[in-house]
Amino acid sequence: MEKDKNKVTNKQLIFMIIQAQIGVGILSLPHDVALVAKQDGWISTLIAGAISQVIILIIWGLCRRFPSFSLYQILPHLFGTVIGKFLTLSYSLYFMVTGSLVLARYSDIIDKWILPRTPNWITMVLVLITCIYIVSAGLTSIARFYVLVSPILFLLLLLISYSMKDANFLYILPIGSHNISTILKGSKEAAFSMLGFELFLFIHPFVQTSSKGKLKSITTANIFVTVFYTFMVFASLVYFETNADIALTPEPLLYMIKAYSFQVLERTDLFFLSLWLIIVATSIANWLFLSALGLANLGRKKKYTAFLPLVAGFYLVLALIPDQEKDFESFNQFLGPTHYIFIVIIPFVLLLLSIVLSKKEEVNKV
Amino acid sequence: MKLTSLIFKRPNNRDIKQRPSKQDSQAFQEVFDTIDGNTSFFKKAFSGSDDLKINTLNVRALSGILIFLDTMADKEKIQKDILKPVMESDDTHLDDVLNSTFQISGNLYQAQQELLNGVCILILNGKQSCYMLDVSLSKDRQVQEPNNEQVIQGSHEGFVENLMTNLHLIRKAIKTPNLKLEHLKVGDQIQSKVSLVYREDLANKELIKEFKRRIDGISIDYVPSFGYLQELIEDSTWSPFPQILYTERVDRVVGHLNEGRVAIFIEGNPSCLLIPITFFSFFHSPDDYNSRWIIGSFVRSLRLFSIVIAVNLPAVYIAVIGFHFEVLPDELVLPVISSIRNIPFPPLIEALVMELTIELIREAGVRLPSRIGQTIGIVGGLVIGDAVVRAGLISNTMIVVVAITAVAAYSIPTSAMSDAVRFLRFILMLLASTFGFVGIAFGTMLILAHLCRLESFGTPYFTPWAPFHLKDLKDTFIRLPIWKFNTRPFDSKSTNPDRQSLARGWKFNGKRQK
Repeated sequence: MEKDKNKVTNKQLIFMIIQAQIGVGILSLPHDVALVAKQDGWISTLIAGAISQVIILIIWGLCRRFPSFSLYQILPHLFGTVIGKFLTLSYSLYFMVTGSLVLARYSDIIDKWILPRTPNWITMVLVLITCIYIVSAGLTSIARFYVLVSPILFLLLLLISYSMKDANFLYILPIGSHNISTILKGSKEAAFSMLGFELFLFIHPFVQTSSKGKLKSITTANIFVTVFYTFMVFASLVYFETNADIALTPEPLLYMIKAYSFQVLERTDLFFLSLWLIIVATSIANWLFLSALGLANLGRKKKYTAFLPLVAGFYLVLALIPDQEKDFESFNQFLGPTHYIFIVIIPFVLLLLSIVLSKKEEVNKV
Repeated sequence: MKLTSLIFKRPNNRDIKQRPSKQDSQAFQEVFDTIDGNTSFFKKAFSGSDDLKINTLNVRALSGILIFLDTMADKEKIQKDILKPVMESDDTHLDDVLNSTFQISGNLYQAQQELLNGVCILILNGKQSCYMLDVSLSKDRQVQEPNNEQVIQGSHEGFVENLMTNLHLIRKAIKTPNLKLEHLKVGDQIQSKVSLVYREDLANKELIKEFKRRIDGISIDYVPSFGYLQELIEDSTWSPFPQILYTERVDRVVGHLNEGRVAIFIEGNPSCLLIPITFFSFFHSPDDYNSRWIIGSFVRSLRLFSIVIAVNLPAVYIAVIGFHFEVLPDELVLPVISSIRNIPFPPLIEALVMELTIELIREAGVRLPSRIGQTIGIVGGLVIGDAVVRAGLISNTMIVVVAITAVAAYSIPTSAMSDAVRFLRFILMLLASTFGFVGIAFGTMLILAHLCRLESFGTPYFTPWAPFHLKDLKDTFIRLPIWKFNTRPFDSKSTNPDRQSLARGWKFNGKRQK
């Protein structure tokens, strides 16, 4: 990659992180959280936002010590070439698995809600082709695209707010009736939907701002996402009766919107889904980008674009494996610990190592 | 396989030859001593072409030959500007006699080149130089309003085929010494004159350097028109979107020059190319600035909305009929159903047939004389449209959709952009007929991603929307009042972004003087 060509501004970083974080989870998040934490689900979501902020601080602390190294370059730097390469490969694989799970859930929802008779692999190929095209243009164009589609988030917010007119705010009472551990368990569910900020580990060298500015951007993004998610959870909690209905609706937001029709538009959920498709495609594009970048770093190739079709092929194969709801569960259970390892533990260990060994990138301060 | 290699062959190991044109301009041939030598040189150069006239001139002490191209020179001018002064004056010093502009050169190759521009050459006996006098015949079109870009209010001047007239129009409109012209030449075998016009104090030097680099890198036998040049220098030719704006309107070019952009003229073409340009410039019209700003904003946003209709409406209709009939409200279901019930074709075929018919009517109408064109319009539009519904081949609603789409597509003020839009909707129609709303969402995403990666001479094509520039939105979707335009737009990369500080200073006069 040419350094001067792939620059991202501070504001673009905010939107990139937002688009990376908000993904397929948005539809099922209220259901998942409410299953565990019941009417206190919204508190769980807020806590999840706080937890991800802590992780963001760790990640930022690591990146601050290596202002021009992406994680793929930090790994061999701190662990030596062999372990570094191995970890790079595992990161790449981890992103592939996570991404293909997102892809599988994505096409599952398309299958359920929009195109019941189209084979899943066809929609997946369509998604992957679009994502390859978005990603292949380089970081600057990716950032531009993410900013361009961000207003859609406000449209989604607007649609959900409209359904608030039939909400019953008594449903969230009593607040805090569950004990702390239940609420924290709910946060665990919510935290998986917050993932995506790890993108920062890989693109921070290309952001044109001081490291404080970067922290500000990424925190802004995280706060926005937390508020956005909390609002979504809150909206579905006050709309559905928590104990009975929400457990039955795997995609509560869609059921909420489905009930409304306008003068020119019945089935508002289809409209909502069409917009949602774009938001999720950006997060799949992210995983694709990260895994291709990892492979490119492994092979010491400068161009990651050459790996995109290969990676997309992996995605397709992996995404076709899980077949039913049950498989998603087991897939998720397998992924649970790996999330911790790759997003929290490894960056934390790296940070500790770099402090202990007092290894740091030499920065020429002007 | 061969075809793909033909298309994708990269000019990696192409040996860069010294172009013959460069050699020509450097070639030198002294003026011969004898008349015969000079005569035979020109006869040989033009292979004895019948329009090459070589007359001998014998007036008192002066004797020599007069050479001109019958087809390029104006005989009356020769009579008036050369022969008459020479005959009447008794001065033997020719420089004083010839009042009109002339050049002196000792190089016969240069003289030969100038001959093609309508110059008359005078070579005197025993002199080692030749006089070149411009007597070119000009049969130019009058300056008039361009037919394809008309406005309701504002200037009605348009460019013509003569380069000098075009440059004159620009100079006349921008009276500042900062306006700089540069003449370049392109073409290996036949050279075309290209003129670069920009404001020295505004235009980005990097941009001009890049443009010259690209012009220098062109190796082609001949550049007949702006379409060739555009395709030779634009960033990505694999795109339906034009990345260079061409216009025949003087006021449009003047406006862009004042924002720091660069205009390019080609000899013999009434169109001017403007770089760098953004997607949204194609939706601007001088009318926006000459009407009230509220009206201008309304019309402009209508135009931008029309692109959404033109690209998406047929696709949405196909998706609704084919996949998501439940989207329609109850009251709408009956009329639509009754209209499509007996149609034998799927909506995609219906839409394709009608869209292609409209394109055909347009294509047939464009090149016909206006009277026959009208007939085609009536036959095509009314007869086919009406008959096709009565025959039960196409549904009524489809005719409505296609008609709205056509009107929307033609409301885009630039024909190149209108073409791009009309082309894109076929792709979306295909996607919609296979995937419904999902197809439309992904098709739109692909188009947007494509717009995000396009660049026009280093300027992001989709700015000020991507990358986002809040300040430049003042003149994009809407047009704010003129006194709000305090800075020049970011996309032209102007070196001096300040345009004005207090355009309506009189409002603050009282306060200021205190």
